[in-house]
Amino acid sequence: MNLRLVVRLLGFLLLAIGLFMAVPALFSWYYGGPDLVAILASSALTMAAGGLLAAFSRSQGELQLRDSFLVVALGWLLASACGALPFILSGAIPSFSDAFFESVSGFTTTGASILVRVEDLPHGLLFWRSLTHWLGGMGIIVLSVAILPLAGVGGTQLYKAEIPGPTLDKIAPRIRQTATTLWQVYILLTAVETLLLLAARMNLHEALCHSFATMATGGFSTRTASIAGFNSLFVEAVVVIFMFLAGMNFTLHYHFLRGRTSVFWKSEEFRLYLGIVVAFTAILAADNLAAGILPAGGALRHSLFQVVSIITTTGFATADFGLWPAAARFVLLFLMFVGGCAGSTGGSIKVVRVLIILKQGMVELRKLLHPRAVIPVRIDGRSVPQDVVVNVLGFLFLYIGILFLSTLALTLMRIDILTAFSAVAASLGNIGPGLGAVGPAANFQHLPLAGKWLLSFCMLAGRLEIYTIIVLFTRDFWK
Amino acid sequence: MSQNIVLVGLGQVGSHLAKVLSREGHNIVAIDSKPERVNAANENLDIKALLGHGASPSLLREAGIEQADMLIAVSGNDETNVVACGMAAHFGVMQKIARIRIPEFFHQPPHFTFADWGVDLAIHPEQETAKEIVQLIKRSAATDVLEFAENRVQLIGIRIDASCPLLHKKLNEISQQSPGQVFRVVAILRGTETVIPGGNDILLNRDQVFIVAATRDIPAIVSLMGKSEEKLEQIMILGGGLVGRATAALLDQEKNLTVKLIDPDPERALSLADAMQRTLVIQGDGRDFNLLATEGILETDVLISVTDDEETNILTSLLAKHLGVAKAIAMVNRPEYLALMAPIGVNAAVNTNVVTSNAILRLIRRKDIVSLAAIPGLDAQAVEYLAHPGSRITRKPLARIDFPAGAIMGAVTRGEEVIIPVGDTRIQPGDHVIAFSVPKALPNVDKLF
Repeated sequence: MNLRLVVRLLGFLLLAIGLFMAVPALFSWYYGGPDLVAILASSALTMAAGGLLAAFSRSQGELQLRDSFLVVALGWLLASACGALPFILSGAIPSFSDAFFESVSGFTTTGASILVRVEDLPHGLLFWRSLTHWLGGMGIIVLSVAILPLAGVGGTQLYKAEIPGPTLDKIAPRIRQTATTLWQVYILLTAVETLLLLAARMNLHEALCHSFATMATGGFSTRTASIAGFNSLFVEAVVVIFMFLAGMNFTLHYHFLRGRTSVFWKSEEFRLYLGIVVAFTAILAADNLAAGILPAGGALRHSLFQVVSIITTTGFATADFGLWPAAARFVLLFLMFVGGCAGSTGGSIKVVRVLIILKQGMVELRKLLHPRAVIPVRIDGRSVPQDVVVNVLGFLFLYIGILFLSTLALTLMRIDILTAFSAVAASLGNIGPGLGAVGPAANFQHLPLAGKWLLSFCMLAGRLEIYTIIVLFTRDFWK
Repeated sequence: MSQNIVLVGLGQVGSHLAKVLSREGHNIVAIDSKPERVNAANENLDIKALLGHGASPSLLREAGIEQADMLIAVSGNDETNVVACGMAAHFGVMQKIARIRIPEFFHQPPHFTFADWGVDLAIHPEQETAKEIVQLIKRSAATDVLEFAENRVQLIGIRIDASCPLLHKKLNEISQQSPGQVFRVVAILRGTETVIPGGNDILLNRDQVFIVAATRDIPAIVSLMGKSEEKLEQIMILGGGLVGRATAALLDQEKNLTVKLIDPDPERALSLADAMQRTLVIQGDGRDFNLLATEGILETDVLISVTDDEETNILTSLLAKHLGVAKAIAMVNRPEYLALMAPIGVNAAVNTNVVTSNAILRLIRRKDIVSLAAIPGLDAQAVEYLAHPGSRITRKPLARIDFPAGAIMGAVTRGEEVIIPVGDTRIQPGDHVIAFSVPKALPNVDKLF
């Protein structure tokens, strides 16, 4: 293991995080907020730590496979720890556990909050919360790969350990170009959404915060009532559209921008994603209408928003779906296990994995009748290699395993089943709000300390797609 | 007119061509990399054979490439064939023919053709064979199907059995009794003997008759012969080699067919499954009866045996017929076996070598020949001629033309019209004439055009 190189890369990562941390200071200064000093101090501390790590471990050589897992896992852990500094130093969130939870929730684009009243937070810290989303959305490691001159193999491994989805899509021959291109598309979409939100009469601070949270499929808002707080159809329409875009594979956006307009419809994953959104919106709207909870126009509007918000794992809310009928809530709970497309900023299991598992199921049925048949699982006309199918099945097993064990742990802390299960599902899937006592109108403040740490772990495990985190706990890794 | 021909490759196709071409009086120099083949050719054939790499410039020069009229590259290696053609183009050879088997090579991008490599004619025997198999499935009653004049005319083979209502009838009686049907019987395969029939010949049980007619009339003629065109929908292919793959790829596009493809090689099965959208690929041994039973051999309408092993193809076809499969098609390349097919009940045999040599012979005898085809097991050829203003055949009505013995007129196409010629028919310049002839009579038929 090339530990010196690992430490050096982590140092660079912290330098970058520290640099970004100084940006919210602009808003603190503009609004004359009380958090200016805390933010600048946190930024300085983070950069100093990063500088020291980078300076004192000069290293040559290549990054090995297992080093890359260590870099990614430790990188996310350190980034989250440093990201908690502004909350602690400003005194806004005095408990380290709470501040760490909020920071992890930000970087992993979960959007679960321990804040009872979001509006109590000064503008600088609110902006930092959303900025962590944005950095974590396309990935802090992918960002580093785009910026740092890493040798080919190491860069690819790092990239692969962080980018969601079962396979690696390369847009360009060099991984650095691929990472740069994806970040460019991401920045472009964020800029467009910011402009639209400004047009919807948000101020720059709010527009940026919500664009960051939307494009990263995060879910932090500047208001406790989330998007409902704006009570504007225009805002909701913009946010729904951009949540949907953020839940799509960004390589498709890239090809679309390059003029290949048919690329969306050719993607089976996209078709399923769209199909799920349409079908579940219809079910939800019908159920809400039948139960008489929402008026005709509102049923469709709020159902669509909630479906897109949950499937893309954003977690914005325009209605307290905790009060909806049982079937409607179950639909949303179910969607928590679908998630966005591969290569999106969304979390959870991912549409393509659902697609592969469904198709593998159909293959097994056909194989009952034709035991010797060779039937590939085919996506977009190409067959999926058998080891990818097995990888997906393994992923699903580990995902469910962690879900059940964590739910068990939370129920042992005297938390009711619905709250515990949905809290774990929402954390593991990087969604944010769950059901019961952690529903969209509530927050995670009341959970016991151990519960918050467990959910922080689930958020990290979910964001790094289970394997990257779990591999560190295997004996083979440390041999 | 004898030509100087350089032949690259003395495999099955190469040696067959060498035999046929040298018998027609051409001067053949062949190159092959296997000493035993070179020795056999030098001893058994009236050609000169050289040992070495088929695309070697010095060897090609030794073979007389600078004086050659034609290069035929039919070695087992596509790249060698193409490079040899490129060399020949450099030496100024007029006709360059290459056999190309790898499917990826013949999906050419636009504006880039084989001519860019110096290849005048690229032959894809496996692809052609696959097309023939598909035709045979569509014409379920036929043993052979050949297309002429942009498929306005077809030549089909039908095997007569005891149920045929025309048994023991003279051919001219048949045509008098069924005035609505215009067709011509151009050949009869009786045992191993090929008969070019006249009006007084009769049909016997177990005869295989070859009929030329307008394509649209074929179904009516088939039922006249006491056969019915069944819909064949359940198809099983044994062997995923080049022919099996090409056949499955063609059938894969037919929505109403259920196709199963069986191949024993796991890797090949995987790559086939990858390439097919609807075809079910089974990895297993086609000789394993349990496997065939599991995959529904009893419900199968057509069994296509195209494994690399001819004996396996023949035996599995026999097994299929025994189990009641409506049609068994086997790939059989060894000429000795072809005569066996009819007596043992295999419905149709396809042969990649015949396809290859058909295409090459057509090019050599060129002049006024539009297409030329031999039928496996039959000692005669179908030739499509184009009549010219000066052609002797256009001068008088057919009755007054001395048509060579051993040859017969099949059909004439004049624009869209299809004519079955009789005595007072007069061929006009521009007509396409489909004739059928034994090899001996062929030069005399040529002279009429």
